Amino acid sequence: MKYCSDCKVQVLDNSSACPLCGNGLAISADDTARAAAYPPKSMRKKSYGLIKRIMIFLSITAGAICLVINFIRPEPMWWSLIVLVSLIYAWAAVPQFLRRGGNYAGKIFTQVVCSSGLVVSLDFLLGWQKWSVNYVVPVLLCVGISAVSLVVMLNATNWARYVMYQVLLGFFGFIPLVLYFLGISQNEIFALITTGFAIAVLVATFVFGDRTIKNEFKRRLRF
Amino acid sequence: MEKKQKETNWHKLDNTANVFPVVASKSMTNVYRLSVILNDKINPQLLQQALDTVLPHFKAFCVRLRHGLFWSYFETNLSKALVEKEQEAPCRQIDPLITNRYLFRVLYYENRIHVEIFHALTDGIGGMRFLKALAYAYIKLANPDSFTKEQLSQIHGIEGASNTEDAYVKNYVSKKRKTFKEPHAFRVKGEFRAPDSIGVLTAAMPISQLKSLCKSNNASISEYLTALFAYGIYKEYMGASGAKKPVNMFIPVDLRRIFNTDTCLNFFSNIVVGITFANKQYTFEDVLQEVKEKFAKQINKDYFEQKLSYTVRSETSFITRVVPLPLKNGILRIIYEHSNHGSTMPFSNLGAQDPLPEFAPFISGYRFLIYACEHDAIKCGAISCNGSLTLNFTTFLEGFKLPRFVVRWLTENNIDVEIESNGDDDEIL
Repeated sequence: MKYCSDCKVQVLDNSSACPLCGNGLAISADDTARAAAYPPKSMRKKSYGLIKRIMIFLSITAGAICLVINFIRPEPMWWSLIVLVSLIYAWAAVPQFLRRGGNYAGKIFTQVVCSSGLVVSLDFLLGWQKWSVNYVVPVLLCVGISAVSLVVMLNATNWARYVMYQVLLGFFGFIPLVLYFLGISQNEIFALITTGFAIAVLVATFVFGDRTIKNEFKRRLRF
Repeated sequence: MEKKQKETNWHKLDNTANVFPVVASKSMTNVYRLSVILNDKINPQLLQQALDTVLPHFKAFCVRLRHGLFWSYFETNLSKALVEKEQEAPCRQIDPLITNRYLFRVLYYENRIHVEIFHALTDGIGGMRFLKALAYAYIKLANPDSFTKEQLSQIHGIEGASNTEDAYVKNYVSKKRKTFKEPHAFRVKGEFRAPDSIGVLTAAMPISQLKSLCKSNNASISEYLTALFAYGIYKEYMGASGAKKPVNMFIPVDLRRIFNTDTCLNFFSNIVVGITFANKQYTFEDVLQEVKEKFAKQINKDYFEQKLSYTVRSETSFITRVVPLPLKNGILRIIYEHSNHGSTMPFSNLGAQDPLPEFAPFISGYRFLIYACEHDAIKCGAISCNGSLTLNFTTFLEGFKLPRFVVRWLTENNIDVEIESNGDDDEIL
C-alpha cells in the first residue's frame, strides 16, 4: 500500500508522489503492482494539423499581400478581390469535399452552391457581363442534378440518404427561369433546359419514391 | 435482385438534448464517461461480442444524428459499433465520422470498461443502464462457468431499454411563466491545462462512514458534499474577504423518481445552490445550514414542474417550431452563450448503482467522469456501489486544490479515503 502521511490517504495508482500534495509516499512492504487505472499520457495521439495550419497561413498571407499591393497601387479593377473570393470558395468547398465519409449527394450539392456563388461573384467583379447567370449557373445546376441522379441510380438502396439534396437541387433548378423572368439573365434556352431537368427529377422522385422516401420526408420536415 | 435497405426507425431529440449538438465543441465536449472496474483484464473480442448483443436493445444508443429542416432527429444506425482500446484523455469530443456515426464509444483498458456518452443521447442514469447491461453481458461471456444455462441465455439489464419517450413533454403541465435566470457566478481561476489533458482524481470512501458523518450534521450526503465543495472553493480559490459573486453549485437532479416516469432518454433537471461569501468569515456550519435550506426549497415536484413548463413551452411554441433549423441553432447558441455564466461547479450524484447480486462478485466499482472545460473548470461526479462511494473530480486546471481540501477534510473527520489519479500531473510535480 502507498500512503501519504500529509493527506492521510491511501494512494491506489502507480504514482510515485501523492497526486494531491506532491509529497513522497510511504510504501508498505506488502505493496503489489496494481493494474494501471489510465493509459500513460505518452500513448495519446498528437494531432497538430500541420497541413491545415500551412494552408491557413498561406491563404491569409496571400490574401493580405494582394489586398495591400492593390491598395498601394490602385488599378481600375479591384483584382485582389478576385483572389479573396477564390480563397473563400476554396475554404468553403474543398474541405467538405475531401472530408472522409459524408453524403455524396450533400457534397455535390455544396459544390453546386459554392461554385455558383464563385462564378456570380467573379462575373460581378469583372464587370457583370452576365455570363455566369446566362450560362455557367444553369450548366452547374444541370450537372449537379444529373450527378445526384447518377449517385441515386448507382446506389438505389441508399436513395433515402440522398433524396433531400436531390429535391433541393430540383427546386434550385427553377432559379434560372426565375432570373430570366426577372430580367436578370437573358438566356432563354439554358433556363428552359435547366427547368426541364428540375421538373424531371422532381417528378421522378414523386413517381418512383416508395415508403422509405415518404418516411424520409416526414422525418426531415417534422416541425 | 435488388438489395433492400433495412427499415430504420427514428425518434426526436428530447427537450434538453436539442441544445447539446449545437453547443458541443472540441473544448466543451458534453461527453461523460461511465466506467466499470472488473477483477480481470478485459478481453476485447468478448467485449465486442457483448456490445453486439446488448446494443440493439438500447434504442437510445443505437442511433445516428440527422438534421431535418426544422429539427434534428435520431435515426436507427445500421453500422457496427466497435470497441476500442483506451489511449486518449477521458471525455474527448465524439466525432461521428470516426465512430461509424454513433454518439458514444466503448473503450477498455486493463480491467476497466468505459462508456463515453454524448449527453444528447441520454443522462447519467440512462447511461448507467447501458453500462450495466454491457458489463453483465461481458461478465457472462468471460465467466460462463459461474452462471446457469438459463442465466446465460438471458440478456440482463435491458428492462425498459427500448423506451424512448420524451418524458419532458409527457410530464408537461402548463404553469405561470417564471424565468430561471441565475446571477453571474464566481469562477474558479488558475492555470489551464493543455487542450488534450484533463486532471482526474477519484476519492473512494466507505459510504457507512460518510453517512454517519452526515448524520451527525443532520444532512444528507448530497447536502453535505455540496456544502463541502462550496466551502472548499471559498477556502482555496477566494481571498480572505470572499467575493461578491456567489458560488453556484449546479446540481443535476434525476426526475424519473419525482415524476414516476421511466425513459431511456434524458430526464433530468437541476437546482442551483448559490452561496455568497462576502463581508464576514464563514464557517462550514454556516454553509451547510444555507445549503440545507436551499435544497429544501428547491427539491420538490412543484419547482421542477415549473422548470419543465418553462423549457417545454419554449420548444413547443409555434414560433420555435416554424423557424428553420440553422437559424434555430444560431439563436440557441446565442441564448446559451448569454446564459452560461450561472454555475461555479457542477456536482452530479448518480447515487447507489449496485449491480444485480449474481454479478456483484465480478464488479469492484464504478467511475463517473464529466468533461471539464474553461467555463466549468472543476466538476465532480459521484457514484456508489457495494458500500463504497467515489467522488470523481475532473479539472481543466493544473493541480488538485479543491480535491485536496475535500480529501483532507474527510480524513480529518476520520473517514478512510483512497485516491487514484490519471497521472496527468506526474510531469509537473
